Amino acid sequence: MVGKVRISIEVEGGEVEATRTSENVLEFAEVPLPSGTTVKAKAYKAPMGVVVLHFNFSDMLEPQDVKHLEKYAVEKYRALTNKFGKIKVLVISGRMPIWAYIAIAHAVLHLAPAIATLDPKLHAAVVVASHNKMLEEGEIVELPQDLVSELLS
Amino acid sequence: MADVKVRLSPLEFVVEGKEVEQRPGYLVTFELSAPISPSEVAEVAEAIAAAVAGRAGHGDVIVVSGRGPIYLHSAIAQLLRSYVCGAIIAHYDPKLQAAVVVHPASMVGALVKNDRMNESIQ
Repeated sequence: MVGKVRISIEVEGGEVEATRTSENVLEFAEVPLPSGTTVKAKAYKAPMGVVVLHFNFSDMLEPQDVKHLEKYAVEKYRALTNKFGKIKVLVISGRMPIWAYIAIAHAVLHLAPAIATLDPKLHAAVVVASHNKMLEEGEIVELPQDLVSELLS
Repeated sequence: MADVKVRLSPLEFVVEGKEVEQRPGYLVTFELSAPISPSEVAEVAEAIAAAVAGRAGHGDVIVVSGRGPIYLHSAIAQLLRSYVCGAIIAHYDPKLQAAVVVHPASMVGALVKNDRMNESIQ
Protein backbone atom coordinates (compact mmCIF):
# COMPACT_ATOMS: atom_id res chain seq x y z
CA MET A 1 0.00 0.00 0.00
CA VAL A 2 1.19 3.50 -0.73
CA GLY A 3 -0.12 6.98 0.06
CA LYS A 4 -2.99 8.55 -1.88
CA VAL A 5 -0.72 10.99 -3.68
CA ARG A 6 2.69 10.07 -4.99
CA ILE A 7 5.04 12.82 -5.95
CA SER A 8 6.93 11.14 -8.72
CA ILE A 9 9.69 12.66 -10.70
CA GLU A 10 9.14 11.56 -14.22
CA VAL A 11 9.49 12.97 -17.71
CA GLU A 12 8.76 11.43 -21.06
CA GLY A 13 11.14 8.58 -21.54
CA GLY A 14 11.49 7.58 -17.93
CA GLU A 15 12.67 8.70 -14.54
CA VAL A 16 14.82 11.74 -14.18
CA GLU A 17 18.38 11.11 -13.17
CA ALA A 18 19.48 13.52 -10.51
CA THR A 19 21.90 15.93 -12.04
CA ARG A 20 23.73 17.60 -9.24
CA THR A 21 25.41 20.79 -10.23
CA SER A 22 26.30 23.79 -8.14
CA GLU A 23 22.90 25.11 -9.12
CA ASN A 24 21.01 22.46 -7.18
CA VAL A 25 23.40 21.61 -4.35
CA LEU A 26 24.20 23.81 -1.37
CA GLU A 27 26.91 22.87 1.12
CA PHE A 28 27.14 24.50 4.50
CA ALA A 29 30.15 25.01 6.75
CA GLU A 30 30.88 22.64 9.60
CA VAL A 31 29.63 23.95 12.95
CA PRO A 32 30.55 22.67 16.43
CA LEU A 33 27.81 21.59 18.83
CA PRO A 34 27.97 21.73 22.66
CA SER A 35 28.94 18.05 23.04
CA GLY A 36 31.98 18.51 20.82
CA THR A 37 30.50 16.78 17.80
CA THR A 38 30.21 18.86 14.65
CA VAL A 39 27.38 19.16 12.15
CA LYS A 40 27.68 19.82 8.45
CA ALA A 41 24.59 20.02 6.30
CA LYS A 42 24.24 19.65 2.58
CA ALA A 43 21.10 20.44 0.61
CA TYR A 44 19.93 19.02 -2.69
CA LYS A 45 17.24 20.50 -4.83
CA ALA A 46 15.08 17.78 -6.38
CA PRO A 47 12.34 18.45 -8.93
CA MET A 48 8.76 19.43 -7.97
CA GLY A 49 9.80 21.88 -5.23
CA VAL A 50 11.34 19.13 -3.09
CA VAL A 51 14.53 19.98 -1.20
CA VAL A 52 16.54 17.47 0.83
CA LEU A 53 18.45 18.79 3.84
CA HIS A 54 21.00 16.15 4.82
CA PHE A 55 22.86 16.30 8.14
CA ASN A 56 26.29 14.80 8.76
CA PHE A 57 27.74 14.51 12.24
CA SER A 58 31.36 13.89 13.20
CA ASP A 59 30.29 11.87 16.24
CA MET A 60 27.18 10.75 18.12
CA LEU A 61 24.68 13.49 18.77
CA GLU A 62 23.92 14.22 22.44
CA PRO A 63 20.63 15.59 23.85
CA GLN A 64 22.37 18.85 24.79
CA ASP A 65 23.04 19.47 21.08
CA VAL A 66 19.46 19.37 19.93
CA LYS A 67 18.49 23.00 20.68
CA HIS A 68 21.50 24.22 18.71
CA LEU A 69 20.61 21.83 15.94
CA GLU A 70 17.11 23.29 15.74
CA LYS A 71 18.54 26.81 15.32
CA TYR A 72 21.02 25.51 12.77
CA ALA A 73 18.20 23.88 10.77
CA VAL A 74 16.10 27.06 10.79
CA GLU A 75 19.07 29.15 9.57
CA LYS A 76 19.81 26.65 6.83
CA TYR A 77 16.17 26.53 5.74
CA ARG A 78 16.29 30.32 5.20
CA ALA A 79 19.47 29.94 3.15
CA LEU A 80 17.77 27.23 1.08
CA THR A 81 14.84 29.41 0.16
CA ASN A 82 17.26 32.18 -0.83
CA LYS A 83 19.13 29.79 -3.10
CA PHE A 84 16.37 27.51 -4.43
CA GLY A 85 13.25 29.67 -4.15
CA LYS A 86 9.93 28.36 -2.89
CA ILE A 87 10.09 24.95 -1.24
CA LYS A 88 7.04 22.65 -1.29
CA VAL A 89 8.46 19.79 0.73
CA LEU A 90 11.55 19.76 2.91
CA VAL A 91 12.99 16.26 3.33
CA ILE A 92 15.13 15.73 6.43
CA SER A 93 17.85 13.14 6.14
CA GLY A 94 20.86 11.92 8.08
CA ARG A 95 22.02 9.43 10.70
CA MET A 96 20.65 10.77 13.96
CA PRO A 97 18.34 9.69 16.77
CA ILE A 98 14.56 9.84 16.40
CA TRP A 99 14.32 12.69 18.91
CA ALA A 100 16.65 14.81 16.77
CA TYR A 101 14.51 14.19 13.68
CA ILE A 102 11.37 15.20 15.58
CA ALA A 103 12.95 18.34 17.02
CA ILE A 104 14.26 19.47 13.62
CA ALA A 105 10.94 18.72 11.92
CA HIS A 106 9.07 20.80 14.48
CA ALA A 107 11.56 23.67 14.30
CA VAL A 108 11.23 24.09 10.54
CA LEU A 109 7.52 23.25 10.27
CA HIS A 110 6.48 26.87 10.80
CA LEU A 111 8.62 27.80 7.78
CA ALA A 112 8.08 24.89 5.39
CA PRO A 113 4.71 23.91 3.87
CA ALA A 114 5.45 20.23 4.45
CA ILE A 115 8.13 18.13 6.13
CA ALA A 116 9.11 14.60 5.14
CA THR A 117 11.74 12.22 6.47
CA LEU A 118 13.85 9.91 4.36
CA ASP A 119 13.02 6.26 4.95
CA PRO A 120 15.91 3.89 4.15
CA LYS A 121 13.62 0.89 3.59
CA LEU A 122 11.33 2.69 1.15
CA HIS A 123 14.16 4.54 -0.60
CA ALA A 124 11.80 7.50 -0.55
CA ALA A 125 10.64 10.16 1.89
CA VAL A 126 7.37 10.16 3.83
CA VAL A 127 5.46 13.31 4.77
CA VAL A 128 5.27 13.63 8.58
CA ALA A 129 3.69 17.07 8.92
CA SER A 130 2.04 19.38 6.46
CA HIS A 131 0.19 22.68 6.17
CA ASN A 132 -0.79 21.74 2.63
CA LYS A 133 -4.14 19.96 2.34
CA MET A 134 -3.02 18.40 -0.95
CA LEU A 135 -0.11 16.71 0.77
CA GLU A 136 -1.12 14.74 3.83
CA GLU A 137 0.89 12.88 6.43
CA GLY A 138 1.95 9.47 5.17
CA GLU A 139 2.24 10.46 1.54
CA ILE A 140 5.32 9.28 -0.27
CA VAL A 141 7.76 11.73 -1.83
CA GLU A 142 9.78 9.93 -4.46
CA LEU A 143 13.36 11.05 -4.94
CA PRO A 144 15.91 10.31 -7.66
CA GLN A 145 17.39 6.94 -6.71
CA ASP A 146 20.99 7.97 -7.20
CA LEU A 147 20.42 10.79 -4.73
CA VAL A 148 18.84 8.38 -2.22
CA SER A 149 21.81 6.03 -2.58
CA GLU A 150 24.18 8.92 -1.93
CA LEU A 151 22.20 10.03 1.13
CA LEU A 152 22.15 6.52 2.58
CA SER A 153 25.80 5.73 1.90
CA MET B 1 -3.10 -3.06 7.86
CA ALA B 2 -0.81 -3.41 10.84
CA ASP B 3 -2.56 -3.82 14.20
CA VAL B 4 -1.26 -1.54 16.90
CA LYS B 5 -1.21 -2.41 20.58
CA VAL B 6 -0.81 0.61 22.87
CA ARG B 7 0.08 0.36 26.54
CA LEU B 8 -0.11 3.31 28.92
CA SER B 9 1.80 3.12 32.21
CA PRO B 10 1.35 5.94 34.71
CA LEU B 11 4.78 6.79 36.15
CA GLU B 12 6.57 9.51 38.07
CA PHE B 13 9.44 10.79 35.95
CA VAL B 14 12.59 12.72 36.75
CA VAL B 15 13.07 15.51 34.22
CA GLU B 16 16.63 16.81 33.99
CA GLY B 17 16.31 20.18 32.29
CA LYS B 18 17.54 23.52 33.58
CA GLU B 19 16.31 22.20 36.92
CA VAL B 20 15.81 18.63 38.03
CA GLU B 21 12.17 18.02 38.83
CA GLN B 22 9.74 15.18 39.35
CA ARG B 23 6.65 15.10 37.19
CA PRO B 24 3.81 12.63 36.74
CA GLY B 25 2.97 11.25 33.35
CA TYR B 26 2.62 8.23 31.13
CA LEU B 27 4.93 5.86 29.38
CA VAL B 28 3.24 5.11 26.06
CA THR B 29 4.57 1.97 24.44
CA PHE B 30 3.27 0.74 21.13
CA GLU B 31 3.73 -2.51 19.28
CA LEU B 32 2.93 -3.09 15.63
CA SER B 33 1.81 -6.53 14.47
CA ALA B 34 3.45 -6.00 11.08
CA PRO B 35 5.66 -3.42 9.40
CA ILE B 36 3.70 -0.25 8.82
CA SER B 37 3.28 1.35 5.42
CA PRO B 38 3.15 5.13 4.90
CA SER B 39 -0.55 4.99 4.01
CA GLU B 40 -1.27 3.70 7.52
CA VAL B 41 0.76 6.28 9.42
CA ALA B 42 -2.00 8.84 9.97
CA GLU B 43 -4.39 6.23 11.36
CA VAL B 44 -1.82 4.54 13.59
CA ALA B 45 -0.43 7.84 14.93
CA GLU B 46 -3.96 9.03 15.63
CA ALA B 47 -4.82 5.83 17.53
CA ILE B 48 -1.75 6.26 19.73
CA ALA B 49 -2.30 9.99 20.37
CA ALA B 50 -6.00 9.45 21.07
CA ALA B 51 -5.18 6.78 23.64
CA VAL B 52 -3.20 9.36 25.63
CA ALA B 53 -5.59 12.29 25.16
CA GLY B 54 -7.99 12.67 28.07
CA ARG B 55 -5.59 10.93 30.45
CA ALA B 56 -2.46 13.07 30.36
CA GLY B 57 -2.84 16.79 30.95
CA HIS B 58 -0.97 20.08 31.13
CA GLY B 59 2.50 19.67 32.62
CA ASP B 60 2.43 15.87 32.46
CA VAL B 61 5.25 13.96 30.83
CA ILE B 62 4.47 11.67 27.90
CA VAL B 63 7.25 9.29 26.93
CA VAL B 64 6.75 7.51 23.61
CA SER B 65 8.50 4.22 22.92
CA GLY B 66 8.02 1.63 20.22
CA ARG B 67 9.61 0.00 17.22
CA GLY B 68 8.59 1.89 14.14
CA PRO B 69 10.02 4.07 11.39
CA ILE B 70 11.08 7.66 12.00
CA TYR B 71 8.10 8.90 10.04
CA LEU B 72 5.72 7.19 12.48
CA HIS B 73 7.46 8.63 15.56
CA SER B 74 7.45 12.08 13.94
CA ALA B 75 3.74 11.85 13.13
CA ILE B 76 2.93 10.72 16.71
CA ALA B 77 4.88 13.65 18.15
CA GLN B 78 3.10 16.13 15.88
CA LEU B 79 -0.32 14.80 16.88
CA LEU B 80 0.45 14.61 20.60
CA ARG B 81 1.28 18.32 20.58
CA SER B 82 -2.25 19.17 19.54
CA TYR B 83 -4.04 16.36 21.43
CA VAL B 84 -2.47 17.02 24.83
CA CYS B 85 -1.91 20.75 25.26
CA GLY B 86 0.90 21.74 27.58
CA ALA B 87 2.31 18.24 27.97
CA ILE B 88 6.02 17.52 27.92
CA ILE B 89 6.62 15.08 25.08
CA ALA B 90 9.72 12.88 25.01
CA HIS B 91 10.89 9.94 22.93
CA TYR B 92 12.72 7.02 24.45
CA ASP B 93 16.28 6.37 23.33
CA PRO B 94 17.52 2.87 24.23
CA LYS B 95 21.16 3.95 23.89
CA LEU B 96 20.68 6.64 26.54
CA GLN B 97 18.36 4.50 28.70
CA ALA B 98 16.30 7.68 28.96
CA ALA B 99 13.89 9.74 26.91
CA VAL B 100 14.70 13.09 25.30
CA VAL B 101 12.19 15.95 25.36
CA VAL B 102 11.07 17.16 21.92
CA HIS B 103 8.33 19.53 23.14
CA PRO B 104 7.87 22.24 24.47
CA ALA B 105 10.61 24.32 22.87
CA SER B 106 11.85 25.59 26.24
CA MET B 107 12.63 22.03 27.37
CA VAL B 108 13.92 20.46 24.16
CA GLY B 109 16.91 18.21 24.86
CA ALA B 110 16.09 17.62 28.54
CA LEU B 111 16.44 14.02 29.73
CA VAL B 112 13.53 12.09 31.22
CA LYS B 113 14.39 9.16 33.46
CA ASN B 114 12.63 6.45 35.40
CA ASP B 115 14.05 3.05 36.35
CA ARG B 116 10.72 1.30 35.90
CA MET B 117 10.49 2.75 32.40
CA ASN B 118 13.78 1.06 31.45
CA GLU B 119 12.66 -2.27 32.93
CA SER B 120 9.28 -2.03 31.27
CA ILE B 121 10.78 -1.30 27.83
CA GLN B 122 13.35 -4.07 28.03
